[in-house]
Order: sequence, then structure tokens, then C-alpha cells
Amino acid sequence: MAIIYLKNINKSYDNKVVLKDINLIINEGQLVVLLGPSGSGKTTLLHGIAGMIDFDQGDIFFGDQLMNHVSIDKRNAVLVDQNLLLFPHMTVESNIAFGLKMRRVKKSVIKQKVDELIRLLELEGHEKKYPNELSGGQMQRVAIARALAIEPEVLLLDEPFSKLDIMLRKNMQEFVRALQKKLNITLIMVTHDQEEALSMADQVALLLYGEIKQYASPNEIYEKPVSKEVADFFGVRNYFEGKIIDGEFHSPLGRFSTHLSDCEKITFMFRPEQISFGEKQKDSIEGIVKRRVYSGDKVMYTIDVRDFEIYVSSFIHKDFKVGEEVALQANFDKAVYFI
Amino acid sequence: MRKKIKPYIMLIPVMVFILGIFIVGIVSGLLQSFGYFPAIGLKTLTLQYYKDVLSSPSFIRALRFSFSTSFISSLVAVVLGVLFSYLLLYDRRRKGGPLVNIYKVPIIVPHTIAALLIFILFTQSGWVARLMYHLGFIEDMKYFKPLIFDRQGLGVIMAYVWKGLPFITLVTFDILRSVENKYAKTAANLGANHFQVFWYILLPLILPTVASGFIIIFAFSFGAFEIPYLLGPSTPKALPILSYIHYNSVNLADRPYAMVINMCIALCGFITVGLYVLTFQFIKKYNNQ
Repeated sequence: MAIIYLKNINKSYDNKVVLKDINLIINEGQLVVLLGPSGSGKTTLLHGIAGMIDFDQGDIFFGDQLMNHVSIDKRNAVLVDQNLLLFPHMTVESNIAFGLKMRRVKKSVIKQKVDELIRLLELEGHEKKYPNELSGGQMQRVAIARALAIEPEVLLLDEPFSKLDIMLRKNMQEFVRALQKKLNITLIMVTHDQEEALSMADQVALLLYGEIKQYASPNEIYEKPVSKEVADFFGVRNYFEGKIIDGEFHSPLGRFSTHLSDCEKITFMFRPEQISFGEKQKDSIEGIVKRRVYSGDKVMYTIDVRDFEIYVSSFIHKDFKVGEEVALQANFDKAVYFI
Repeated sequence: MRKKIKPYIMLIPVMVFILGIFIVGIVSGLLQSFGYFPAIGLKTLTLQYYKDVLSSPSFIRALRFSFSTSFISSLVAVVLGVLFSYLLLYDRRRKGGPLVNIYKVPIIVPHTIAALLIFILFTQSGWVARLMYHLGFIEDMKYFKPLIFDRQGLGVIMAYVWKGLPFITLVTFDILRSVENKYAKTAANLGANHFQVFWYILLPLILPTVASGFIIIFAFSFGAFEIPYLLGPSTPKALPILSYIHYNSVNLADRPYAMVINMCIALCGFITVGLYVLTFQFIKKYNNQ
């Protein structure tokens, strides 16, 4: 069942278009990541869903209820900001209880709910502490507990892990993912970190320049990008331009066999990990190692092939030196292509 | 080590000036209040002047008058100042235009001018009385309730509120705006309505600032001379007036009485400074997020 439906959303600030014709369907219990660089409009979209800003055009539905004119305090879409914004004058338990207190829920029910969330979010022993006495991870969990306390229709996370160190970030990503599955809540998260998006999401919506360029599962958006700009967003890639004649791809790098039919202009895309080092043979691409960048578990090579640069990533057990001649293998039958 | 000491060394000239005047004044006043006034031959330290002053009904009345006028005027200024700041926050002109800045005008008006304005407006022959008479609310101007020189000190309170309100608004508005920017939407997003946002979030977070504002205007009005002198009743008198009368007496032997009253005013000042420090410790408790 679609719980959230965004229909033709548009938003501009000072004649600058921030969101353009956004259409998005989010199903119940899904974790959807809005991915994009800074200024792509993802936070604006999240704020609009929460009711913090009004869109210029378009409709928001929660289920079959139109939410356009439902005020922020009645919308039940809770946002956890990247700055967390825990109320500094309240203890952990008062922060968590805040939303329930505002709804005038009975004290005994509030206490029960707060205790439950303290256990769920592993915050035992911190109930009486003020936010400035907590670590980054604890503050994060308090902010999530505070949001979950009112049982929102949808939980919105705006770059929730951006201020955490790498180890804590990984832990919190796993924690939030497990929590979301356990409670089966609908969650929309904003991030500019592609790795975070791919590892956490059920569906990823890539926003560029205020438009959703692709909305797909992590596998699909990474392996089958619908355009060059989507592919570009996910990192270093290689484009081979040319044409196909009689089952052969003709390009400045050489001729390669393919099952595709004849085509006047085609661009194949290979990610660095889709090209491998191999022995010299008919279909191999020969070149010289120009650069070598070590990054722990793998090495990124820049290979000079007839004035073209090809990026290849390889695990550490295959090691080549700058200036060394190498042969590369690329499977054109499995590659993504744009016509 | 040298680097650590350097700022203190550089501060010595100004500290000598500030603390010098302060300490000399306090010590000299304290000695005179204990009856040590060699200029007129008093060289024996005694508590007699304190006993006389503290048991005097006029002192008790003056203390009560000063405390009540200062406390009420500060409280009213704080409540109205906070509400006014909140209204300014939601005013369309909040980005700051000339109209928004008009409220700041009373801050630069001297207290004597403020007293004069209150006098012109609120005496029985003042503008307000005339207006009410012409509008038919009162049959004669003599029926206008005396607000100046009255025993409750209403004129004094009005003058202090007129001066204190913009000061409180000034110190509150910026902090209120920053707190509102930061937390109001978060609270609303969790289900709080406008009143709940103000009551549970904005007010507690600006309270330390408001409290320190209250302490500042209370301490000032408690020890200030001009307004109760110009607008206050002949009896009871405000503490600074009582002190002034003793100080100005042709009988120099009355001088220790003036100093005892001054020491009482200073003691109240120190207590309010203590409260001020405590307030800031309270702020520190949660402002390091």
C-alpha cells in the first residue's frame, strides 16, 4: 500500500527552482533514501513532507488523505534534523516524552512508552541526563526515540549520521536499519553519501538540480543507471563511445564483440570494478599504468590507452607499478549503454 | 607562564581605576556607617547607627517602598517585554524597519526626562486627565486618580516600566529569535501548538536571559535616586531619598545614618549580583550542546 504519494511537487526560492515536478510513491514500511549533492533540493523535499514549508505546487497524500493544508503539528510526519535539536533544558526522558505530553497523553501511558523506547534505543542509565552530557551516538538515539514516541506515519531523517565519526556512523546505520525493520515504520532519509544510501535503502531516489533522475532499488540504480548523470553521481566511470557494425563495437580503443544490433552512436559505461586486468588477447585493451592510488582494500589505477584514460579498481593482491604495461578485459555484453 | 600573566598585567590600569573607586567608596562608607568619621571627631567603631536605622519605622517604610516599586516595575517590565518580544517575532516587520526600532527610543531617554514625561501625562492636570475629562469619562479633572506622588508609587512604577520594558525587549528579542529559529519548528513537528511552543520551549530557554534582565533593572531601580525623587510621595520615601536627606543634613553627625542606608542598598546590590551569577551557572548547565 502506498502510504506517501508526492504528486507534481514544485518549489522555488527567489525565482530559483529548487524542486521540479517531483513524483514519488513510498510504500508502507519502506526505507527510502533521497540521495543527492548539496543544493539538490532533498532537504527542502523532506521539510515539505514534514509540513515545515509549503510547496508552490503539487499535492502530498498520506494514504488517501491530502496533507497540503494540514499544519506541521497535526501532520504526524516527524523530522530528525541533522543537528538533532534536542531540547537542551530537558532531560533524556523529558525529550522523549515531549510529543506525548503535547498531545496530553496520560502520565502513566507516557511513562510506559518512554521506558519502552529507552530500552529499545539502548539508553538505560541516561534517563536523567541532559543532552550536553551525552555522546553523539546517544544524542542521535534520543532524537530518534523522541520522534518514535508519537508513532509517526513516517519518520524523516535529514543527514542523520553526517556528524558522526566513521565507526559510530556504521553502527548507527545498522541500528536504524534494524530498528526500521523491527518496527516496520516508513522512513525517508536524506543523505549525500552514496554508500550510506545503497547500504540502507529499500528504494533510492536520486535528486539532481531539483529533479528525481531515477527512483529504483539500490542494485538497479547502481548497476543500471538510466542516464550518464545518474551514473556519474555514483563515482568514477569509463565511457566508451562508438558504433556497432555487424555485432562489433567500433571505438577509438579498438573493436569488441557484442550481441547488440547495429547502431550509429552508442556509449558503453563501465565502472572501475567492471574492468579487470588479464592476459593479452583479441578483445583486450592494452595500456600503460599512469597513476596508482592505494585506498586500503583496493587500488585505483589510471591506465593510459592511446590518449584515453581508463579507470580500473583492483584488489590489492594484483599490484602493478606506474609505467607497467597491462591488458584490460571488459565485457561489453554486460555493460550498461546509452544510445 | 608569561603569556598567562600578560592579560592581567595589561588590565591593571583599568582595574585600578574601576576597583579603586569602588573599594575606596565602599570602605569609606562602611567605616562611616560604623561611626568612624574622624572629620567630626567620631573615632569609635559602633553598631549603634545600624541599630537606630534598622529599628526606625521610616527606614522600614522606605525599604518596603523601594522594594515594592522596584520589584513590581521590574516584574511588569519583564512580563510585558517578553510578550512584546514575542509579538515582534511574529510581526511581519521582524526583519527590522524603523517602526520596529521605535520601541528602543525610551532606552536613550534619560531618567529625569522619563520622569518629566510621566509627570506631564499623569498628574491630575496632565494630558491623560484632560483627555478623560474632555471625553466625558470624569466630571472634573480632580476626580482623576492621583498617580504621581501617590503612596503606592504608581508614578515611579510607570516611569521604571517605561524605561525597563524596551531594555528587556532588547535583551530578549535576539535570544528569542535565535531560540525560535532553532527549536520552534522541531517542537511543532512533534505536535506542539503555538502556545505550547512558547510555554515549554521558548520561555524556559530565554528564562535565564530574562532573569538576568530582571536582576539588572531591579538592582538599578532599587538604588536609583532621580525618579522616586521627582515622582515619589513625600512619605514613604525611597531608600536613596532617605539616604540623601541624611547625607545632606546640616548636622554632619547624621552622615553615618546615610552610610548605613547606603550599605543596605549596596548589600541588596551584592545579593542581586549573586543571583545574577547563579543565573549564569544555570545557563551553563545546558547551553553547551
